[in-house]
Amino acid sequence: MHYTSPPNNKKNKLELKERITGMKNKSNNNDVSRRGFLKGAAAAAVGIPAVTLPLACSPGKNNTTSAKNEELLEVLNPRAELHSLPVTGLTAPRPADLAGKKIALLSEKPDAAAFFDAMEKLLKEKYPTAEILRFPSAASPMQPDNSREVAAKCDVWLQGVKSSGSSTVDTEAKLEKLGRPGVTFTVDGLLAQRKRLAEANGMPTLRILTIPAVKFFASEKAPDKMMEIASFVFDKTIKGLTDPLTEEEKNPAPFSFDYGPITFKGKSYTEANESFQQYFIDNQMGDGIPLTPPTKEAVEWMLTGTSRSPQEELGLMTPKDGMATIEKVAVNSVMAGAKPEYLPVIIATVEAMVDKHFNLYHISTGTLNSKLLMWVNGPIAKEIGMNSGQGFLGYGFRANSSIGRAVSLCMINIGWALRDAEIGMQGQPARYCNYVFAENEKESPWVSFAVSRGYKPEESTVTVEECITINSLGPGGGMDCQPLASDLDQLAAMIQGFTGPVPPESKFTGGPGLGSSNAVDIINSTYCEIGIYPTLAQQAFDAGYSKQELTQMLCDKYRVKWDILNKTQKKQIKEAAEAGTIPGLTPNDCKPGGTIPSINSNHIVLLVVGGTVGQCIGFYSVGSIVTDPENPDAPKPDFVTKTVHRAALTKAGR
Amino acid sequence: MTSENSQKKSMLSRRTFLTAGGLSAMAIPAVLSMTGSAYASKDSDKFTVLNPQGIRQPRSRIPLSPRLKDLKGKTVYFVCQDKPVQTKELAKRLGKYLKDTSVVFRMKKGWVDDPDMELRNEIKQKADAMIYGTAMGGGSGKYAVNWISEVEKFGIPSVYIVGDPLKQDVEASSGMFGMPSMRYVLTPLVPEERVNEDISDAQFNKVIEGIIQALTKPLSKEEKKAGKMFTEKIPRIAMSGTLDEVQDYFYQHGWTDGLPIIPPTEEKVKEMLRGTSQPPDKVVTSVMHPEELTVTVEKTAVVGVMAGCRPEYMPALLAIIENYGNPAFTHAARSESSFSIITFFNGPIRNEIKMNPSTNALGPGNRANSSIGRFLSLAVIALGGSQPMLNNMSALGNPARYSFCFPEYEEESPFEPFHVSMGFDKKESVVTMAAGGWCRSSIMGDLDRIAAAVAGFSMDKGGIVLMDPDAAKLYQQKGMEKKDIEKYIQKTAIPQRNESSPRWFRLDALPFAGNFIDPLNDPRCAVKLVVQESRFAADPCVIN
Repeated sequence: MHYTSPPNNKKNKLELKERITGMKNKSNNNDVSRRGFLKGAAAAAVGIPAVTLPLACSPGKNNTTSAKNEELLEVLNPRAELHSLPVTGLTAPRPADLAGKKIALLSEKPDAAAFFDAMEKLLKEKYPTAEILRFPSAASPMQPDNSREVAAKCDVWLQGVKSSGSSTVDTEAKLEKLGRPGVTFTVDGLLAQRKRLAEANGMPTLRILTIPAVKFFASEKAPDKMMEIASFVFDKTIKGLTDPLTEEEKNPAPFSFDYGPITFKGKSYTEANESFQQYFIDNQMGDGIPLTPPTKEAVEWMLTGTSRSPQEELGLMTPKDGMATIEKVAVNSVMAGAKPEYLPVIIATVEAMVDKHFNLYHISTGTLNSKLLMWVNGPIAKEIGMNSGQGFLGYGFRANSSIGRAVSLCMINIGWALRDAEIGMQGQPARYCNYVFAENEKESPWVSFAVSRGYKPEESTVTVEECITINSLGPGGGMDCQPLASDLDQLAAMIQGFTGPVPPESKFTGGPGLGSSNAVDIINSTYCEIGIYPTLAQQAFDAGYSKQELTQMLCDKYRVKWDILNKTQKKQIKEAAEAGTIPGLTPNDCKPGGTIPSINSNHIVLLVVGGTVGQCIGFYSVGSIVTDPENPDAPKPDFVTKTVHRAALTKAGR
Repeated sequence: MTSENSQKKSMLSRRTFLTAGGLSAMAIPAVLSMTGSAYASKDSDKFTVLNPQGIRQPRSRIPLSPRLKDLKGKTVYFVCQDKPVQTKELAKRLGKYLKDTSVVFRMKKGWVDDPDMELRNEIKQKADAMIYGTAMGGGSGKYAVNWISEVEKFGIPSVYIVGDPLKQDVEASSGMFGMPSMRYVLTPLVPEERVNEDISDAQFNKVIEGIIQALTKPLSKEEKKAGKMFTEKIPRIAMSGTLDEVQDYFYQHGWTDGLPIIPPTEEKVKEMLRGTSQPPDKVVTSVMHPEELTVTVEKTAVVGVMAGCRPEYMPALLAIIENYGNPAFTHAARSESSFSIITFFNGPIRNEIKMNPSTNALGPGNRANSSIGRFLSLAVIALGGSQPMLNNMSALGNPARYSFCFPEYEEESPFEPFHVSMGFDKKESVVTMAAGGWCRSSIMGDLDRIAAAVAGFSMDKGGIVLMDPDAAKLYQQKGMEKKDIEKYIQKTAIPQRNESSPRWFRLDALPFAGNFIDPLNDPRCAVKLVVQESRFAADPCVIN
C-alpha cells in the first residue's frame, strides 16, 4: 500500500522505483529507451553480437575477424589561440662587474624581506662600492606597477621571492625591456609556473633562480638561516647578473602550435576512441576521465544551442591569454558531455570568467586549490533541468555536472592552465565539476539573488565567484530540528570560522586571513556565499527577517573589538566609518570598547538552495573581485554577473 | 533509438535553429531539443553495451504479522532511535489517547547500527505491538527498517514513524529488506521546542489515528504475501546504440553521474578482464551499498570501462569493491550528510599503474588517479544502485564525489607508509577508503593551524592530514615521529571543538565504523597523517 510512485520532477529520467530495483516498469512510456533495450536483448539471445566489433582484445596475433577498414576519428582542437605577447629575447646587456653599480632589490611579499636583508649584507661585503636600493614589487595585478621608477634609479635588479602561485612576472619583463638586466627568484616548486609566466610575457629566457621551498618557509623568522639560503644562491646570483647573454637567450625559438583538427586511427571505433582519450590526457587537454570526442558533427550539434556566431570572441582567458570564442567553448562543452541547451549558460559563465573584474587568474594559478563557484538565476535553470534541490552539488544531474566540467575544461584548454605548471598544490577533487547550482527560487520566501541585484525575474543570469574553502553545517541543520536562533547562530559562526575556530580578531592581528595590512581591505576583500535550505529560509522569513536584515544580523553577530586594532588600522577604519563605505560601521563604533564588522555585509550572499532534508553550506573566498587594471578608477562591482542571452533552444535566455 | 530516428531529431533541432535565428520572440517547444540528441550517424559507430547494474539476489518476502483487533488492554512498545524529536511528545499523547493501553517508551541503545538484542528480546516477550520512531537522517532509515522487520518476524505488528522528508528512503529500504508493504506513518518534522506550537492537535491526532490503524487494520492480500522477491534476471546486454544514445540511455536509467562514459562493449570489457586472473563470474561482494547488491568480476570490469580505467587497474578496482562492501559504508552511502569516499593507495601498485603522488594528486589530470576515483563513484551508482533523493539522501551533494583518489608519496616520506602503520607489509598493495570528503585545504602554518582547521570541521569526526614530504622531514628533524604529529594535532584540536558536538567518529585505516569514541583517550587516533607532495612545505591539506 505504500508503493505509490513518488513525485518525479526529472522528466527524462525513469521512474525512481524502476531505477532502483531494476524491475521492469509496467507503464514504461519511455519508448526510446525501451526499444534500445529490447533490441539489445534480442540480439544477445540469438548469440550474435549486434554490432560486428572486432575482438581485438585477445593478446598476441591479430584477430582475423577484425574489420577490414581502419576507423578514423577526427576531433576539433579544443585549445584556444594564444594572444600572448610576441616572443622577444633578452636585450639588456649584462655588466662585467657589479662594483659601483646601483643594485635594486625588489621584494615581492613581506616574507621575502628577510631573504633580501641577507642578500643585501652579502652584496655589501663583496661590492663595498655598490649602492643597494630597496623597493616593493608588484606581485599581482592588484598592486601598482613601479617598474619605470625602479628602472630610472638602478643599473641591475634582483626580484622575488615568488612564493605563491598567483604572482606574476610582469615587472621583470618590463625592467628587461627598459634595458635593466636582472635575476628573479622563486621557490623550487614554482619553477615550472614561473617559466610559463615568462613565456606568456613574451620573454621565455628570463633568468630565474630557485631556492628550496622547505628551507625558505622554515627560515622566514630566522635571519641566520635565511643567510644560509642567500649564501647558497649568491654565486649563481652574481653570475646571473654578469654572465653575457647567450645566443639562445637573445633569440629564443618562437612559439608554435598546430590548432588544426587531430585524427586518431584504430582498427575499430573503440580503439580510435581509446587513443583519443589517452592522447588528450597525455597532452593535458583533458581531466583524466572519459571525454566525448569533439567531432565536427558533435560541435555543430552543440552550436545549435546558441544563435551567436561561432567566431564571436568573448575575451582573453588567463593565465596564458587564449582567445575564448563561441566555437572553442562549444568544443570543450562537447568534451564535458554537455547538451546544446546548456551552451548559452556555459557561454555566459565564460563571459563572466574573462571579465576584467573577476580574478580568474587566482583560481587557475593559485596554490590555494581553489575552484569556481557559479550559480544560475532565472527561468533557464529549470528549463535545462538544473538541480536546485536536494543533492545540488552532485552527482547525478547532467546539467550541473557537465556545465561545471565544461568550465574546468575551458580553463585548461582556452586559458591554457596546464596542470604541471598551474593547478594548485594537492589539487582539488571539486575541480572536476566545480560548484554549480541554480538558486531554488520557487521555494524561496525572498526575491532571488539576481532580482535583489537589479535584474528582472524573467532574465536568466550566471554569477561567478572563487571558492577557496567550504564548510557545511551538517547535522546541525533541519534534521536535528534545532530552533531557528541556534541555526542562525551556527551560520554566523561559520562565516567567522572559515579558517578554523579562531576569533575574527586574528584576521587583523596577523593571523590567518590575508597578507594585507590595510584593515579596510581585510574587511572588504572577504566574500562569503551561504546556501540556506528552503525550510530554514522560510522559518527566518516567518520570524520577520528580510534577506538584508538577516545578512546584517549574521554579519553583526561576531564583531571585532576596536581595541585590538593597531594605530594605523584604527585610522583606516575611522576614515571608512566617516565615509560610510562599510555597512554596519559608524564613527560611533570607533572608540575604546566599540566593535567593528569583520566582513562587509554586501559581500555576504544568502542563496536559497537545497531540498527538504536540510543542511547549509558556506563558500568562502578572498579577493576574487578586482579592480580593472586598465581602468583603476572605475568602481568595483560586488559580484560579476552575466545575463544568458541568444539561447536558441530554450524559451528563456533568448 | 534507431539512428534514423536520431538523424531526424538532430535535423529537427538544426532546422529549428535555422528558422529561429533572429526571431527572438518565437516560441519553440523546448522539449524538442531536450530529448533530441545525437549527431553521430554512421552504423559502424554503434555499440552494444553490457548492463552495469549490480545483481539483486532473490530474497524471501516477509509477510506482515497479523494485526490486533484493537489495542484495549494491550502493551505497546514505543521504541526510539538516537535523538527523539516529537516522538517523545507523540508517545505522551498516545498514552493519553489510548487510556486502556499501556504505552512503554524505550530508547534503543547505541548508534543506528546497534541491534540492541536486549530490547528486542524484551519486546518479543512483553509487547503486543511496536511503534518505532526515528527522526534522524537518511542514513538511519535502513537500520530502522531492518529492526522493524526482525520484530515483525516475531509476529508482533509494528509501525514506523518517520519524518516526511524521508518517505522515499523508507520505501526503498523496506523493499530492500523484503518487506515492501511495511506500514509506516509520516509525521512533520519541527524543532523540539516548538512541537506544540507547530504541530496542531489535529495533526497529532492524525498521526495517532494512523498508528492505531496501522496496528489494527486487517492485512490486505498484498501484505500477507510471502514467497520470493527479485527473481527477475537482468539481461547481460543493456542496449545497442550510437555513442550519444548510450550516454543518454545510461543517464536516463540512473547508471551514471551525468558525465560521459566509455561504452562498455563486449570488446572493451574483455580487454579490461585481462587485468585480472579471476574468473568473470566470481562474486566480489554481495553487499554493494546502498542496495546491497551482488557484484561480479565482470560487472566490476563493465564499470571500470565506463569510468575510463585501463586493464592494469583491475586489481585496484576489485579491491575497492571488496572494501566498499564493508558495513562501515552502509551509513555513508545513504546519509543526508553528503559524504564522498576518500580513496588512497599504498604499496607497489601505485607506481605500476603510474599514479601521481605529487602536485595536484587530488585534482584532475592523471588517468589512474582520476579514473579510479571515478570508478568508485560510478560503482556506487550503477553497481550499488545509489539514486539521489531516493536512497542517497545527500542534502547538499558533494563535488568531491566525482573522483577522489590519490596515492601516498612513500618514496619521499621520512615516515613509514600509512599501510605499514596499519599492520600491512610494505610490499603489499593496499587501498584505504574513508567516508568524509569535505575537503579543506591549504592551511598555511604549523601544527597548531592544522589543528585549528581540524577543529573547525562541522562533521563530528577526525580527519586526514596530507603533509608535504619536506615538511614531514622538518618535523622529524625536530624529533617528532608520525604518531607524535598525529597525537599533537588531535590533542590540540579536540579541546577547541564546539561544545555542542563533542562526539567524534573514529577514523581507522579501514572505514570508520560509526562508533562514538572518546577522542582524547582513544588509542585509535582520530587524525591520520598521509604524506603527499604539495609543492610547498608550509601548506598541508586537511581532509575531513
